[in-house]
Amino acid sequence: MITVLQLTKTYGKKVQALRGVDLEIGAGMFGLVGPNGAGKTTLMRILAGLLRPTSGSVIVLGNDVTTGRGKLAVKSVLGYLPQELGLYPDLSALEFLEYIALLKGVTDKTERENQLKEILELVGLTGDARRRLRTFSGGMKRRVGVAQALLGKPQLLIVDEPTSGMDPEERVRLRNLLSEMAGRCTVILSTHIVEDISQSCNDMAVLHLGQVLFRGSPRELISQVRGLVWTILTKGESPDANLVVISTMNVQDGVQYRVVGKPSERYHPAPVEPSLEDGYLWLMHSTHN
Amino acid sequence: MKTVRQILAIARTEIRFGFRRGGPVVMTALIGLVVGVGILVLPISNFVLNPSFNIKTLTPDQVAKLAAFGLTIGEFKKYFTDFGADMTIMGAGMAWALMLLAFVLLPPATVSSIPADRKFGVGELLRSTPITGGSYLAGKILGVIAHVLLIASITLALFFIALEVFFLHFLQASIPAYLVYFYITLTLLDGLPILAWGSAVGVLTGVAFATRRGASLPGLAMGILSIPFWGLAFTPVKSYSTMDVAAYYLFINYHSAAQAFEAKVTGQAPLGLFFLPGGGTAVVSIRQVLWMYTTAFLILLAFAILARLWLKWKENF
Repeated sequence: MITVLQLTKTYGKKVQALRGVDLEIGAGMFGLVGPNGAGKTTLMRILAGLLRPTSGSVIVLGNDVTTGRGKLAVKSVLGYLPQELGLYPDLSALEFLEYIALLKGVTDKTERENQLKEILELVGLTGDARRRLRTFSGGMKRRVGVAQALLGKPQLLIVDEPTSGMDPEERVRLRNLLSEMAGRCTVILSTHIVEDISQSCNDMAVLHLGQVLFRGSPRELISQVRGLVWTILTKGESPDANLVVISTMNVQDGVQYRVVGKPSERYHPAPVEPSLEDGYLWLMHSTHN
Repeated sequence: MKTVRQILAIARTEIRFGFRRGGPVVMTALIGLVVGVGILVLPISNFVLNPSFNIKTLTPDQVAKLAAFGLTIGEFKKYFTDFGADMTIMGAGMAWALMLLAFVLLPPATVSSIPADRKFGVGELLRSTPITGGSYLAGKILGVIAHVLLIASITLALFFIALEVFFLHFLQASIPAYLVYFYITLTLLDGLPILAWGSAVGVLTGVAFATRRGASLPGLAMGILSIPFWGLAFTPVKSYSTMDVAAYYLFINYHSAAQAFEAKVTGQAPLGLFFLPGGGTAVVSIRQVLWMYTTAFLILLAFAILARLWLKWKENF
């Protein structure tokens, strides 16, 4: 269980990244979504004990991450994949992962070898394990990042934008892997790709300008736009400004839009089943207005 | 135990990474090469410039002179080898100052150790593991020092090969065991602390910088500042300030049979030539040498504590 109370983080004197965030995160997979600059990475880094909050309290699995001892206790059960993943280019994947395993306290050689073997297989890198990391593609490096996060059998997995730079196949594979992990530990997935949340999380929050805009299940966010999502067809003119345009497609008779809101009857709107993306974008639109 | 394993893991990766990066390897090898050449220049030039002084072709006159000192050719050969050894010791005394290159060259080479983690983006990943900033620093310093010492020992081995070639060529003898012992102790007791200092100062200076480029000049500055500090803090005696306490201690305790013979023949105190402390100079005790190590260690420790606090303050590490 993770409890965040009145959490604030200010960089310098002016930039307020988090403004009084309250959150409770239980077991399973938790999604954190928001636009760029919403404060997601700051929140993830505070939860991982990498960043000191300006004020507020953060209790992770019974440990206060603002104290030295609590921070170390959290890190000993943490798997963390940062947004900007860095690897030593001159080490092989195996050398790098073995290094991280030792740092995570997996000192027993047999146990370490077993974990490395299992995880390399899980992320599909067994055949490339002895290759230098400088020869890896972006997606492969991301998989090494996931592998290192899984080492040490973490109780808490924090993954920040894990699917960026991955091809569709890799994204699906990673989502499934994280969902599988969520059965064993708490997984916090931070992303700006709403589809990643809709496909894998049963609990989520939307963060915007350092504040929690929504807290609940993906289904609850979707239900907020039920009856508000439509497809409309125009001869080419843009829809009314009060509508949120989700997608645009050129068709034979004109331009077809998927919109959220209350379109005029002149568009002959046809209702469609809402998605999480509709709910998210409508929420963001409502906030801006 | 877990902490020790973590420190060793960091050190091992640093060694591995350091070898593949090359900077500290090149600098350490360069220092060893310059010092080695510096030691051998004097004795080799002496033999080359005085070709008549050849043990293989002693003239009847020279044999008669030896007899006047009560020496047979066999006894003189033994002394002659010792003279050769003494000459390299004098060369070492002159070349000692070249060891100070370690202060200039090593910090800029090792200063990138921590900024490299930031540059490659590995720093954040490492900080998410259950290691403390202190363990991280300890592992980095240990790794860099081990890596530098490994190269230094390879350079020392090469120096011994060159020395053996010198002895075989000019003296028709192998290096005397006491000379090997002298150079090993000089390396361990004086070269090692200087190399360790240069390496550690580089790593610790790098803590405050995000990029390798940004850290290079401060690393160089810290190294250069180390020279006057070392010179002032570890001057052995007031009358003799061209080497530190540890080196001075070893040189004044160096004795060979040839020295005693030379003193007897010339009436001069042995090894009073060139840059070496001669007979009658002030003596330093092993306690002063230990004090030198303690002082150097404590200053590095204070520097390490500052670096640790910096990591805690800036990176919550």
